[in-house]
Amino acid sequence: MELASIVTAIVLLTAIVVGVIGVLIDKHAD
Amino acid sequence: LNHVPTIGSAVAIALLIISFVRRNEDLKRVALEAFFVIAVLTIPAYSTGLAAQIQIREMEGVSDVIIEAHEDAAIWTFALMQLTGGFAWYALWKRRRTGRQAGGAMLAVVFLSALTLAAAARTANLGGEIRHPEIVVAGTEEAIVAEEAAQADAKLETDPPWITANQIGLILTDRTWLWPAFEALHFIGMGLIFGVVLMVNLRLLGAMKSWSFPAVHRLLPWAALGFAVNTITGMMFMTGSPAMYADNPSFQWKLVSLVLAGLSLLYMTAFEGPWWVGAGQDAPARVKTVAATSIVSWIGVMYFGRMLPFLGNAF
Repeated sequence: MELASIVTAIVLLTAIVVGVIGVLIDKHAD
Repeated sequence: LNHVPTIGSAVAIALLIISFVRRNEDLKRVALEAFFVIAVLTIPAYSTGLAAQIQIREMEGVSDVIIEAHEDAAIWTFALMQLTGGFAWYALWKRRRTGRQAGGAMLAVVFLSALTLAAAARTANLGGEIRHPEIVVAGTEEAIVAEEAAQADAKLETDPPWITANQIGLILTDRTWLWPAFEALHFIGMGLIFGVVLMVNLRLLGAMKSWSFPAVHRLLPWAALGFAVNTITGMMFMTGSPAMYADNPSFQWKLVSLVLAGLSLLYMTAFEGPWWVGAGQDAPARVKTVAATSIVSWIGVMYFGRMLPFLGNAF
């Protein structure tokens, strides 16, 4: 696979994981 | 600095146990704060190991096998310590907001800190044998450990272990796409941290006064998540190419800034001073000083990180 597409995939996946964890934590904020 | 992970986590665990026995909530908070501080200090402690490794590797009477066993043990200790610190941070944040204990996070801290202490003790034991080869006497416990390490080395050929420093290094340098991907993540993490930290600190310095501090405090987990992403990716860079970082003056300044920045993050998360700054209120001078220091330290982390190749010898 082309370098740029693998890099993009890794970055997007991590962003999704971090986003989901962040939203879950935020739900317990109050 | 090297003894912080071992002695520090032993002390913090002791504090935690006493706090449970005495049902002392303040002491529990202190123990959690200690875990976070130790986790931050473990980052420079880990990097001093890499610097020492490069210096003593060529010395006579120093066993490569023990060095590598020490390094691999250190990776586990590092990872467990960061996880413990992360859960401790979450428990502190949750407690500050709700006044209640985060049971799950506390359980994770107790469990992980016990594992960390065991891993740190093992790492320290192996480390002691590197610097003090004279203590390895035939027939003693150390000699047996050294022998075991040698046997473990022989075993590497047939039965490679799950994670070693060499493997991480090879994986990172062999795959051309991994380093740039981690760099991209490291920058996204940086954006998350600095974005949130800037907003929180600017509020304390007097901007956006219609917001209460607890309103911006809610955003802190996003900075903590950025911190987690950057600890993982940064650790990979350090392990993947230690020579670029170990002797790099810019990296040493980055670590100094990072420790200060980490401490200020803890202050914003758990301390009383900023928490009681309500909507429309001005923060006390002491809190403002920490807020300004925090912004400067995070800028320091970014500046010295960016300057690694220019003030230092990376890349």
